[in-house]
Amino acid sequence: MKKWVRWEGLIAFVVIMGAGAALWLLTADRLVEHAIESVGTTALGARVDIKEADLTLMPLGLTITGLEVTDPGEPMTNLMEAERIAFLMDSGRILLGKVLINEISAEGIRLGTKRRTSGAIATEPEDKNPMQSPSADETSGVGGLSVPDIDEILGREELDTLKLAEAAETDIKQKETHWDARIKTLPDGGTIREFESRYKKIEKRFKGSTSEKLAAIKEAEGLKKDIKTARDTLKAASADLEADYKTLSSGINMAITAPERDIRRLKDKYQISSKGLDNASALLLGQRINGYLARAISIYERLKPLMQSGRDEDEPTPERGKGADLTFREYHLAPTFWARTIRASVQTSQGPIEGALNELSSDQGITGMPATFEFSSRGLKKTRSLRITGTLDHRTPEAPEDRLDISIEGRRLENMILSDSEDLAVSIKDAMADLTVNARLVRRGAIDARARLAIGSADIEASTATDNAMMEAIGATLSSMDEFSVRMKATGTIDDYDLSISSDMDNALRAAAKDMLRQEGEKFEDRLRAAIKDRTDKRLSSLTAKLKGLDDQRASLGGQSDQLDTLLKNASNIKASHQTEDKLKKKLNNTLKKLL
Amino acid sequence: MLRMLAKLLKALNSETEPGQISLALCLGMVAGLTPLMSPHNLIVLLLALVIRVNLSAFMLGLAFFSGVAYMLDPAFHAMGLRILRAGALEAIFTDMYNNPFLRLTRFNNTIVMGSLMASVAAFIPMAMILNILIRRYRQHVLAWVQKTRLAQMITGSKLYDIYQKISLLGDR
Repeated sequence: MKKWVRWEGLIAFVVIMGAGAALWLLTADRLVEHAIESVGTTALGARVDIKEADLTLMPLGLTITGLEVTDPGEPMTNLMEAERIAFLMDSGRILLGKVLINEISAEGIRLGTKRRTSGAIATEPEDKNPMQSPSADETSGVGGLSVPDIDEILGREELDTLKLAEAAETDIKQKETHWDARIKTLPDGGTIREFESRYKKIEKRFKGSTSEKLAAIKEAEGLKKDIKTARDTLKAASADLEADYKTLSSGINMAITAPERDIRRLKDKYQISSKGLDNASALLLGQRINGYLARAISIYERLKPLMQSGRDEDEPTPERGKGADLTFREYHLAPTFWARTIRASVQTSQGPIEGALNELSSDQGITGMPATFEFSSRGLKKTRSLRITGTLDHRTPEAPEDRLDISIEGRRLENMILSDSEDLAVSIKDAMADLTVNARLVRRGAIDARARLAIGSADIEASTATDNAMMEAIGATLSSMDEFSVRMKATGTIDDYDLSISSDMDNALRAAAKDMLRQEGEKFEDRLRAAIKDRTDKRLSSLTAKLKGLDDQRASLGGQSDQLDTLLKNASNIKASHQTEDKLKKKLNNTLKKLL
Repeated sequence: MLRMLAKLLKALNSETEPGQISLALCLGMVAGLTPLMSPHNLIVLLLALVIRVNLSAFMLGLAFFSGVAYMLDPAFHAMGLRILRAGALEAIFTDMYNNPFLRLTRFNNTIVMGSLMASVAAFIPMAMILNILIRRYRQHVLAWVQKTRLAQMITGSKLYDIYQKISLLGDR
C-alpha cells in the first residue's frame, strides 16, 4: 500500500484556506453591508440601504456611510437618513453572539428626506401596514352649518295641523249626520203649535160651565204632562248636542293652535344651534392630530420588537435546512445587543437637533436599565427651543412602561392649512406656537397622552365660498382671533384609543355666533310660519264654517225648549188663574143644594 | 495549461484502492450530511486532502449526501435536539457554549449536532460496507459495464481520448 499521507494536500489546504481568507477579507465589507440591509429591510418591512460599510478587525468596529431607512408608510420618503454611523464592538463577546457597543456616533441624520427610488419591498403583507395611518398632512373640513330649505323641510315633515284639521272635519261630518237623524225624532215646531192650540182650547173651556172647567182642568193636567215630556226630551237632546258641540269645538281649537306647535317643533329640529360649534376645534384639527398620533404609534410598534429579547421557547421551531439554535446558561449574562450610548445629531431644515439615546438593549431584564433618550435644540430657525425626552422601560416585558415628553417653545407657524372645505377654508398665515406633550404607555398597551398647544400672535385667514351668513360670521370670528389654545387627550389602548380635543376657540365661536344664531333663528321662524300658514289657513277657516250647521241646530233646540218652558208655565198657571178644582166642586155642590 | 489540467485530473483520479475510495466517500458523507459551512468541515477537507483518498469520490460523496441530507433534516433536528437536551451532557455543553471558539462550531444547532453525530456514527460501518461493495463491483460488475453501449460511447468519445493522452502526458 502506498503511503497514506499526502503532504502536498496540506499545501493545497493552506492555499485554499488562504484564498478563502483573502476572499473574505476582500468581501467582508460587502457581506456586512448586505447583512445589515437584509436584516433591516426584513425588520422594518421597507428598504434599508447602505452606501458603504467598512469593517475593521483590529480593533473590531464598523463604520456605515450613507444609511437610508425607508418610511414604510411612504415608500418614496426616508424615515431617516444618516451620513455616518461608527462604533467599536467588544470582539470577545462577538464570538459568543453578543454585540456590545460602548458608544455609537451617528452624524448627519436627516428625517423625512426624499428617495430617488421607491423603498417598498415586493412582498408587502395585505393589511399589516400600520404606517398607513391617516396622513398627518390631511386637512379636515368644516361644514354642516347651513339651514335646509323650508320647502324641503315641509316636504319631508308631516304637519300636525293638517292631521288635526282632517280629524276635525271627519268628526264634524259624523256628528252632522247623527244630529240630522236625531233632530227628526225630537218634538219640533209642529208639536209646539199643537200644544199651543190645546192650551187655547183649554183657556176657552174655562169660560164655560163648571163641568167644562173641571174637564178643562183635567185637560190642562194632560197638556202639562205632554209639554213636560217634550221639554225634557228637548233638554236632553240639547245637552247632548251641547256636549258634542264642545267636543268638536275643542278639536277645532286644537287644529287652529297646531300651527304654532308645528313651528316650534320644526324650529327646534332644523334651526342651527350652537351645538354645531361645540367642537369646532376637533373638526379643524382632529384629523391632523389623529394622524400624528397614529404615526407615532406605528413607529413605536415597529421599534417595540427590537427591545424585546428573543428568549428560547420551550419547543424551538426548526427552519428547514437551518435547524434551531439552543441556548445554555451563560456564565456572564449579556443581552444579544447592547449599545450603552448612541450620540446623534439630527439635521433639520431649521438647524441641528442633538441628543443621545442611552442603554438601548435587546434585553433590559439583563442590563437592569431602561432605555432613555433626550434630544434638544436651542436656536433652530423657526423654533426658540425644542426638547424631547423619554424612557422605554421594558425591564418587565409583561408590564412595560414607556414615556414621551415633548416641549416646543416659540415655534413659528406659516401658511398652515387647517381646513380646505368650501364651506369654510381656514388657514394660519402666521403664528407663534408652544406645544407640550406628555404621553405614557403602560401595561397591556394602555395609553394616556395629553397635549396642549398654545397659539399666539396669530394671523388667521378664514373664508367661505358659500352664501351662508352663519359661515361668514364664523369665518369673521376666526379671522379676528389672535390667540387660542387646544387641549388633546388620548386614552384607551394603542389599538383602540379615544381622542378628545377641546379648545377655547369653541367658546369664542359660540359667543360670536350667539347673535347671528338668534337672528337666523328668527328669520327661519318667520319663513316657517309663513309657509305653514300658507298650507293650513284655508283648511282651518273652513272648519269653523262647517260647525255652523250644528250651531244653528243648537240654537233651534234651545229656542224650542224655551218655548216649551213658557207653555208649561202657562199650563201650570191655568188652575191658579181660574178657581181651583175644589172650589169649583164646592160651588157646584152649593148650587145643587140650593136647587134641592 | 494542459499540463496543469492533466495534473489536476491525475490527482483527482489517483488513489483507486477500494479503501481509499470508500474512505473518500465516507469523508464526503460527513461533509455532505452536515451543513457545508460548518467549521468542522474544514477538518474534513483537511483530512480529504492530506490522507491519500480519492478526491473524485470525495466530491461525489459530498454531492450525493448533500441531497440525502435535505430529506433527513427533520430526523437530524430531532436527534440533535435530543442530544443537546440530554441532562448528562448539559454541563459539557454549557462549558462549550461559554467558550467563544467552540461556539463558532455551532454545536448548539440541532441540525449540526444531529447530522454530525449521525455521520460520525455511520462512518466506520459505511466505510466497511463501501469497501466490500467496491471490491464486489470490480469483481462481478465492472466487466459487464465496460461492455455496455454507454461505456463504449464514452470510451469511444473524443473527450475520453484527450483524457487518456493527458493522463499519459502527466505520467511523463
